Amino acid sequence: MRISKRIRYLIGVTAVAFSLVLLVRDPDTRLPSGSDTRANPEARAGISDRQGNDGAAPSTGAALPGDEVRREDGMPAAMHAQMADIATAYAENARYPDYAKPLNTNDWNLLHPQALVPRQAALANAPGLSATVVLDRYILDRNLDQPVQVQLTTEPGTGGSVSVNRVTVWLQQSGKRSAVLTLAGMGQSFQGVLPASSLRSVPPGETAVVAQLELSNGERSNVNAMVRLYEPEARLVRLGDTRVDGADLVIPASFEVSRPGHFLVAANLFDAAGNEPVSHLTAELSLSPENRSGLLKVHAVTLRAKRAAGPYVLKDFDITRMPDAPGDLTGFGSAAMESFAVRGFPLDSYSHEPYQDPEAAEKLAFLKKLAAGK
Amino acid sequence: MTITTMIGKLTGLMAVTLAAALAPAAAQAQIAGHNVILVHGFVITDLVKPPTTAEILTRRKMSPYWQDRAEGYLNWSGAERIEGGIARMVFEQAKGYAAQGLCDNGCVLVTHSTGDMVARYFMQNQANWMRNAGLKPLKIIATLDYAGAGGGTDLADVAVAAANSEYVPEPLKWAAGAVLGLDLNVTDYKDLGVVIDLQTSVARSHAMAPNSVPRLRFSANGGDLTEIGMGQVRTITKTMIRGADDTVVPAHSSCGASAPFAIESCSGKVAYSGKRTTVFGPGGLLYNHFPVLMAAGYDHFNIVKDEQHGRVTYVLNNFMAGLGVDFQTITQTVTRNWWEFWKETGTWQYVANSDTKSLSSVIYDTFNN
Repeated sequence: MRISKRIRYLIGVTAVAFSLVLLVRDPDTRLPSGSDTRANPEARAGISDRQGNDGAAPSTGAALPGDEVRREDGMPAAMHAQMADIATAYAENARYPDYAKPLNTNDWNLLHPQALVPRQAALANAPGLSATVVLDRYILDRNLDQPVQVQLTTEPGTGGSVSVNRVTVWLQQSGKRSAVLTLAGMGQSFQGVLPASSLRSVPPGETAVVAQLELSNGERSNVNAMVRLYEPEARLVRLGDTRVDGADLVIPASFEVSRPGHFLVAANLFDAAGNEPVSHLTAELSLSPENRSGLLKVHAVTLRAKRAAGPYVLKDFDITRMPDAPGDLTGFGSAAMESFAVRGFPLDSYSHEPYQDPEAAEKLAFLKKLAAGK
Repeated sequence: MTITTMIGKLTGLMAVTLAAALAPAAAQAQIAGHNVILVHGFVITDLVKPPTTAEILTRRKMSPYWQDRAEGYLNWSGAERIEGGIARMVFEQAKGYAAQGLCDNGCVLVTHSTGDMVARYFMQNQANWMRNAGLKPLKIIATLDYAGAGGGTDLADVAVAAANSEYVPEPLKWAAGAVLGLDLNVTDYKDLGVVIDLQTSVARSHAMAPNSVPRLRFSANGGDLTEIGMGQVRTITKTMIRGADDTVVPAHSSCGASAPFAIESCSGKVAYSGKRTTVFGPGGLLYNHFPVLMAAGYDHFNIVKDEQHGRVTYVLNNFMAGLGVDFQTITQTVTRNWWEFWKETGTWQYVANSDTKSLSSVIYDTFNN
């Protein structure tokens, strides 16, 4: 009986204390009707200013504490500082030509051109089981064999008992189907190679890579990935001898061209010794069966910034024929080899004039104007 | 009436419509002295009822706030593809502006959602197209991108998969269909128009070459709850998109992240809420893409309107690592006593005035003061 009384006493004291806590909680933390608590963390948690005056919380929508920094024109200094930072970053970017930007390990999009971003798909008839179709690229040359993989994932805690016994893959476009390929593997991963003959059996264009899973419960399930098949309209076949021309390293490139056009040739230059990324190169070239060569260039400002005198390796090719008129489809090209060796020169072989981007000055002025607030 | 006469009449009608649509509004406002052109987002009704050319040219889909501050529009139909009808329609309008000289002093594009990708594709190709048409390219000085979908969205991935397969779980199929206003059980994927271009892989394959146009990004992460008449429920599209999102577009897209990863913020140092903390942010950004503001209370649709939905925070990204930019900040710190278990402690940073003004007016006032 005494224990029971003590418990009741403790419960009572706790309840009173809790009520007091609720009562003394800053009234300003109560939101006006319709306010979004999720958007205002200070509204669901009493907030003090920077001096740590606990309990002196401003309400949602109330003015900020007096220590906030404002400019006289009413613009927050932080916004100005940020715009100034952006202007500085932009000016730094503009030091390098569009045709040879410095390449860094965090430039994912440049290091993975035309990437297929895999989509993990839940299966309607196998709860807890997901499948992902993985290919090297979204844009695929129909003349090359293409590795394909199907990865399976079982969501933890779902108690999913269904497994996959067999996976087959085919290409499908507008009612046309390629031959069926059975993937090797078991458990969580199945893989194989889609032969070029299969890729050529459907027309170029957007195509579904369909993977059919035979489940241990006797059912079947399909997942797919969309790819874009192309017939190369230009093919990089050879790089010529590199040379220094003023501030540029010049790389002659030769192509086989089956459809004339205005091509954008992009590739990544790496340091051959350490395989460190150096520069993302782009060149706009007018190519035709009669005019089959063009020049890729790397400005010394980029090579010096990366301290990369070479020799180099050029790879990750992304060759597109730009649409001549709005509404035209983009065409694509390929490279005869996965990578090409590129000779380098000592960095003092290049002249020292800085690169001037004629298009950047006005844009930089605009950003600076935003930073200045005028 | 001969076919030639009919074509002539139709061409004339289109020219009149185009001229009427392009007649510049009285230049009421600019951004820092530059004319503004609006590029709207995906209009879902386009898939159900494709608009006519006249309807496209005269549509005003961006918020009235920005309409009042714009000198031009690049409109398009969501029933078309980026490389097809969208490119044609946008270029027709751009030719009119080139002839007028609207952008001779430099224009700022203000884009919303898919307008981000539409603008990017246009900017990469317009120089060639204008040259071929005997016109000077529009001088685009910068873009302001609200909830940019140029990096693609999981919703489009699901929608295309659902239209392609009977094995996509029904709730996913229903949710993706609801966003598009379609029954994906009976829709051929080819009828999904620009949604096909919004698949993550596809979006990231369009016009990604580095260029000199600075792209200022504004990203939201709100819209957690949806009103369904009987109360609020968790917005279902939030469960379909990896990482942070604004109910339609993932953060990797709206922030302009280099990789399509499931990031939770546009910065590794600040959350959408403004809280300074370590958070999964982008490892790198697309070239000349600069996230400027983030907002936890705004969603994909209201971010571009003149509505106030909580404070916004600026992105502490230190774009130039190593420069040591010393931000002057507006911060608030929360402390708690030991028993105040419900309080979230930390330091939050906000943009001044964002507690009383819409995100759009914060941007406009800041940039145009």
